[in-house]
Amino acid sequence: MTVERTRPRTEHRFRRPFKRLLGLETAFEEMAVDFDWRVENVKGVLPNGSLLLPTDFFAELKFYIHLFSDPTKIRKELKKAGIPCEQVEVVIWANGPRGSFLGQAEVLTRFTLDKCLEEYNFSPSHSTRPPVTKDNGQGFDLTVTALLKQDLSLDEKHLGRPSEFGMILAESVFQIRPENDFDDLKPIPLTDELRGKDRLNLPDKSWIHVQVSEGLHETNSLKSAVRIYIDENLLEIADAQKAATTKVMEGIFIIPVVTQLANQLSMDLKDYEGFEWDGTGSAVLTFFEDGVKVATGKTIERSVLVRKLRDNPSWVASVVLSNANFNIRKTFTDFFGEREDKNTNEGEN
Amino acid sequence: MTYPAISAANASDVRTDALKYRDTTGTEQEVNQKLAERLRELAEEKIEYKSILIPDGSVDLINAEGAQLKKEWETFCKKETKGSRSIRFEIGASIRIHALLKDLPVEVLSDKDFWRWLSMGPFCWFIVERGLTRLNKKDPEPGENEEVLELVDARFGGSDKSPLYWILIRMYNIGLAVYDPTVKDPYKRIGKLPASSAGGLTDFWHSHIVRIKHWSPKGPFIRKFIDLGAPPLDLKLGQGTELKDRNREFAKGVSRMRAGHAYHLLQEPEHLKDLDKVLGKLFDEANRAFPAESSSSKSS
Repeated sequence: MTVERTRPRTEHRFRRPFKRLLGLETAFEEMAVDFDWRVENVKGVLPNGSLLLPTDFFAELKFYIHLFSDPTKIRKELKKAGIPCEQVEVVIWANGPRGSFLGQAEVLTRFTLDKCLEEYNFSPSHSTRPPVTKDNGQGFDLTVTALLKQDLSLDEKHLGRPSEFGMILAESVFQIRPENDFDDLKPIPLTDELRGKDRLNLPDKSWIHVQVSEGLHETNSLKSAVRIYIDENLLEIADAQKAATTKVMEGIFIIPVVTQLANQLSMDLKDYEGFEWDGTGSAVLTFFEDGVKVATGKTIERSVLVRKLRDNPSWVASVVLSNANFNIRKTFTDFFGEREDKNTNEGEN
Repeated sequence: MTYPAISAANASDVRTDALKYRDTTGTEQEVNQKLAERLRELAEEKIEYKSILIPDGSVDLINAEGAQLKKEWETFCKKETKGSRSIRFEIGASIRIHALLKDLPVEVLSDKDFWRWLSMGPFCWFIVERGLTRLNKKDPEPGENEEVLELVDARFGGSDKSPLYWILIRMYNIGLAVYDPTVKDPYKRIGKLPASSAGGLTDFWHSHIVRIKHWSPKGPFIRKFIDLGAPPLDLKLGQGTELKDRNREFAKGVSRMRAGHAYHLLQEPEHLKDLDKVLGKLFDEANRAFPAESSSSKSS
């Protein structure tokens, strides 16, 4: 059994729990993950460059965690902070699958910093790797956490230094995903580089950019129909808000997406004058059909929906967006996949 | 062997169709049973098989356990008064659900379509028993009962509402939280669950444990949290308020601590003493702020 999977990529995020210990941060920042690309059982290479891989793709993948290129630097910084190397433990753990609601988190290995300063690379053997890094084609997060093993005595010379057992000194998260999921699953952070003339060619302060593909009347997947770029800072802000505020922000992000989809669909339908929709084969038409039904409480005839979309796309978009029952979270999920659950205060008996 | 799955749209259609021509004759139990059978029948036609391999015989095992639990439920109903019996049964069955599914590939367990199949297939009878909610009818006829018992999507996954509230996933998570593979009886902590909603079941278990999934279910951290905060089993209706306040404070303290500490990663035997100390301190603080008489002995 084979599936089409593109090569995995990693995205590195570094966490700074203690901003005062700048030296310590930079020392830990060098942690990285490398892959061994000699994946066995590759079934072939597709024209788009994707590898045809076994379904247990991640099981075959070998990865190495490279911790520090310069051990003397970290020794020096720890000494400066008054933290003995042997009191620091490095834990490597995996969490996934990405977007999963089950939160499978497992420790791969742990050792004192002393040990990993001598051995720069860590490559977990297949037999010792937890299932989350093996039976999982959706990717996972690999986290390297450096924490204090014991309480340290309070010391006037090192005020503000982490001193409690379990405190995190630094943490690096490596998001390991199939490349195709990376592009599809969430809004893409809009950076200055992406705004550049040779990329998207957008104004300097643009905060949102929506790309809609053509031929929407016969596109089977919502995710492949649209790509949304949102200013990187704004995305971070949205993620950091409470659930209710995030919901409002997602609602704002959705407006141009729905409007642009309606406009593009209108153009596509004008190009195919004789097109009749039988209710299948277009995820975008289904999206608008459902949206109008929820908004008006009535089923719209398919021929009428197609005519309306062709002649007056803004009307359809505004009907879908204006109704009080518009499920922003579901729409967001339909387009961009799951986002991290916000803690809503719900429960039941 | 491939695994069965049902999409959200199909699950929602099945529910709508089953409720449309619901046979409401007979006792409440008979009515529910007929609805469950109809749901299962309709869902059968919507099953798709996905291509991740699961061990041979897994589906048969799941079906058999579904049938066995159904028998046990029927016997249970004969013995138990109505009250909170479905809650009690849910708690007891949680560990069975976890034991049944825990060895399946994580990719299967992370697939909502698989859980929809479980909810509308082998465990449909329980979803109907536990998931029927009293709703106001939209357009009641004159003189007609204005309320109707309906199976809402969020109980089984007909919508994409957070899966943590789907009944079976909630049960699996409760089983996962109490599971301690290091002892002879790995599910012994299930005995700490209060037997009714009076004991802060919703607040303590659902809000502080099931919902906070990123605590990492592995390791002693969550188990220590349960040991300290679990409401006493003999709690009577109306006695849980102080416990709720205390446990909310306790959970808040733990959440705050989580920002800068990695206690959930400390899983070795030598860490247990330190974890006891840290969680005990937070529990005592919460207990001082909201003294709960019935459980004050726990903190000592």
